[in-house]
Amino acid sequence: MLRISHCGMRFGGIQAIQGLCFEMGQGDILGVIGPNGAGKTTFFNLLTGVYVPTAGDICFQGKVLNGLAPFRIAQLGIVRTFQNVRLFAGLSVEDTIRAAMIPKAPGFFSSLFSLPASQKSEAVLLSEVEILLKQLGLWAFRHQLAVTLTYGLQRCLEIARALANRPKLLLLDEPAAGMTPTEKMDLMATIRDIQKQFGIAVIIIEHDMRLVMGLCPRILVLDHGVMIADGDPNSIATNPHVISAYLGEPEEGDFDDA
Amino acid sequence: MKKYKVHIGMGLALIGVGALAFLQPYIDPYYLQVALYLGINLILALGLHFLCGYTGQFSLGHAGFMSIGAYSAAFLSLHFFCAWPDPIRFMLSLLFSGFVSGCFGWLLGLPSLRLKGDYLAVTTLGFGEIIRVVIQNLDVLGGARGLGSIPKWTGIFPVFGLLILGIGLLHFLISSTYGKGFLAVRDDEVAAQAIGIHVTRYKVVAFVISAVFAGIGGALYAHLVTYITPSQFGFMKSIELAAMVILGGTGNAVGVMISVTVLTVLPELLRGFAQYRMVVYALSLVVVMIFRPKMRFWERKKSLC
Amino acid sequence: MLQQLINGLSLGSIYALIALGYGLVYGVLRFINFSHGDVFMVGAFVAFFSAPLATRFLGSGWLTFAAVLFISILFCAALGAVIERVAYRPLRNRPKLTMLITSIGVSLLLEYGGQLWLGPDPRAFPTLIPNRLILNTPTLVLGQVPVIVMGFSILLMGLMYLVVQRSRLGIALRAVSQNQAAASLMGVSINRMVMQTFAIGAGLAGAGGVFYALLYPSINPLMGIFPGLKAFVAVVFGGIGSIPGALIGGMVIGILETFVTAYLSPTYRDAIAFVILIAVLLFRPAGLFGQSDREKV
Repeated sequence: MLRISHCGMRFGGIQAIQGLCFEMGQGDILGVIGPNGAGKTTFFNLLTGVYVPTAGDICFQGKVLNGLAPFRIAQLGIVRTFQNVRLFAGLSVEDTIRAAMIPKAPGFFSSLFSLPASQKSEAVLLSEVEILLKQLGLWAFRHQLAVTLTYGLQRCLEIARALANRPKLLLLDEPAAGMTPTEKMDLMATIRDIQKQFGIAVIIIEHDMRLVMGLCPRILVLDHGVMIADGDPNSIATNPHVISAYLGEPEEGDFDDA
Repeated sequence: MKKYKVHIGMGLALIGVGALAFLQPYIDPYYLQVALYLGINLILALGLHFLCGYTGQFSLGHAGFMSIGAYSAAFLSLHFFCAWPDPIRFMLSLLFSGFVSGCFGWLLGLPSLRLKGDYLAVTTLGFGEIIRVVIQNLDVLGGARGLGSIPKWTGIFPVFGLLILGIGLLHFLISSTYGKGFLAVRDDEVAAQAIGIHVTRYKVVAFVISAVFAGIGGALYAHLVTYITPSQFGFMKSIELAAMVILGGTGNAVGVMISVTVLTVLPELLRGFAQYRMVVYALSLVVVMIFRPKMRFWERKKSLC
Repeated sequence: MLQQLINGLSLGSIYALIALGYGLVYGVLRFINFSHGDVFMVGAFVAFFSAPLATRFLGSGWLTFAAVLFISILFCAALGAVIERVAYRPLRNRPKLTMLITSIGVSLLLEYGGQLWLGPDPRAFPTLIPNRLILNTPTLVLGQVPVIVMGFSILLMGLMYLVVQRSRLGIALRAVSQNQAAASLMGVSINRMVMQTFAIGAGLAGAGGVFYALLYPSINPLMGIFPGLKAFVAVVFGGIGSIPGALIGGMVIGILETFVTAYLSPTYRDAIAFVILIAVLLFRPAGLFGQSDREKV
């Protein structure tokens, strides 16, 4: 479903990503880990079209994504959440989901005159919104302004927003950041449910090892823009390259005082 | 039937206005003029408010669209379809003015896509000025001397009828799912892109809509004052319009209506003190800006209005 | 053609002066101070009113000119500081457009207040420096006034450049314009910095007003509107925060304007600046020397 070949991203003098190659199938859950600055968010930005790769190709369901506008890529079925929650400050929870459904909503002229046909479509959309919000436990807050929700609920809304249009690939950028352990457990369960129910593929960037190891049957490790490991949690945990990337190599004088 | 509540409401309001229109000949001409000015300003402010409050862009050159509407309508009324009945001709002129200013709205909307905040404001200002200068140099439109003998077709029904229509249609648009896109683009473009919203198109559509409102307002204005010159649609006019919208508060249509009413009627009341008029106007602008209570709690630093 | 070039350069150097003040304020506060052009007008009028006094005590000549210039700069600097304190500081944390509208209000206040007080008719500015001809050839007539104007403007701008680049004030200025929060944590008093910036910018505008009145001796309360706007275009053209940029921007606009007036049509004069503005914003929004900010996702 998703194929990345020899992908690279260069900003002026900095090679943020280099020689990235991997494939992913429908319904897979993939974790991406790596030290800070490894290029994980850049990777997401490449996938969603915010950056155009300076080398290589990104293919999604047979279509080359290079150079497509971000909203087109979103319409093709790749959506994301953000490291810092980016909600629509002035919209209510319900309206946020409605906004996400714009690609399948009535267009300008029928909305302008509120024609009977568009009213019917709107009613259908609203029922879809209801279903989604209830699934994620946000129905009670539907009229509240998105920005007034608690942090955990805001993250939840961001995920709900991403799911509104039945995407095929969901990119979660550090969804557990700032969450309590209980919230993290809930998040893990939610992601598993979503994946099972909607059959979507998920790529998740995270720093919480337990969450990643517990959730993802396959993990990618990035360091300094290069992929240094790709495999199941056990092999990643014991991979010497991974360990040294996170902890560094011991230096000459390190153990002298011990 | 509940689904058509607003449609019915609009229809009733239009009938009400139509009834009022019959009384038109009996109303004192001065008050009538002020009322019509009020209605026209409301239409103009509505369009600008939509652009600013609902899509987060701004225009300090809206008088430019107004003049485009005024001149295109006047041109049509003066030179074409002379044998047709007046109401039809007026309607055609209004439609034409909306269309032409909409086109220019599209033209201005495109470069505006890359600009934010102050830059956008000044670019629109520049656009307004360029329009003014161009018209000044077009003899076919009367040049600096202006265009006169425009038939006085503007009355209660055209002005307030169109106002009601405008309010109703905008209401439909904003409450629809499509309409939420404008707000999303205003609040966070990047997030909007990420969920498949065609940000560019929304921004341009917003410009076009507000331009159409301004153009029709301008056409109504032209057929009220019967004589238009480019200097009537200069920087000052744009500032007046902008002030009306800003002072009314954003996202707050009622507030805008109040401020438009105040700002239209006040100069009339101050007519006796003509020279002090502008100074009082300017002073109140500054004072209100400084002491205005925050309208909405979510006024973020990034927002423009 | 050379004649037009000289005219354009002297006009341009005045635009550059105003642009500098604009740019300083924009760099620090990120807002367009619409009243800046009207401070320019105030400078011209202060000079107009102080000229007779100065002439009485100092006779006519260079000393009078210097005194009048000095008084104008001082008055305008004070005016700038007052405006900032009264009208803009309360709005520091509000959306930028609020400040923009307020600055428009202040601008209108200065313009129409001026009109109210002084009447709308233009006044004739006294000849402080006779326009003795330096060159008198068929192709080029060069008076000393344009040269003096250009010279002084460049001098003032050079001074500003040194101040901004080398002095403590300048470093604080640049710090505040890049990151207000961090600068204040480093001990920079934002309020004082902003007020000083406004004062400097206003002083420069005042000087510009005096020079403009020397070149075009007819002054009126509304004279600041267009030079102010054009100066802003100069800032955008040259790049925000760049002093050389403001200088070049002002010169370019002055020259283009003069050429268009001479060779195309005088009625397009004021529109030229806006055409430049739109062109810059379309093709190179950062201007000549500015940097574009990239939003980090």
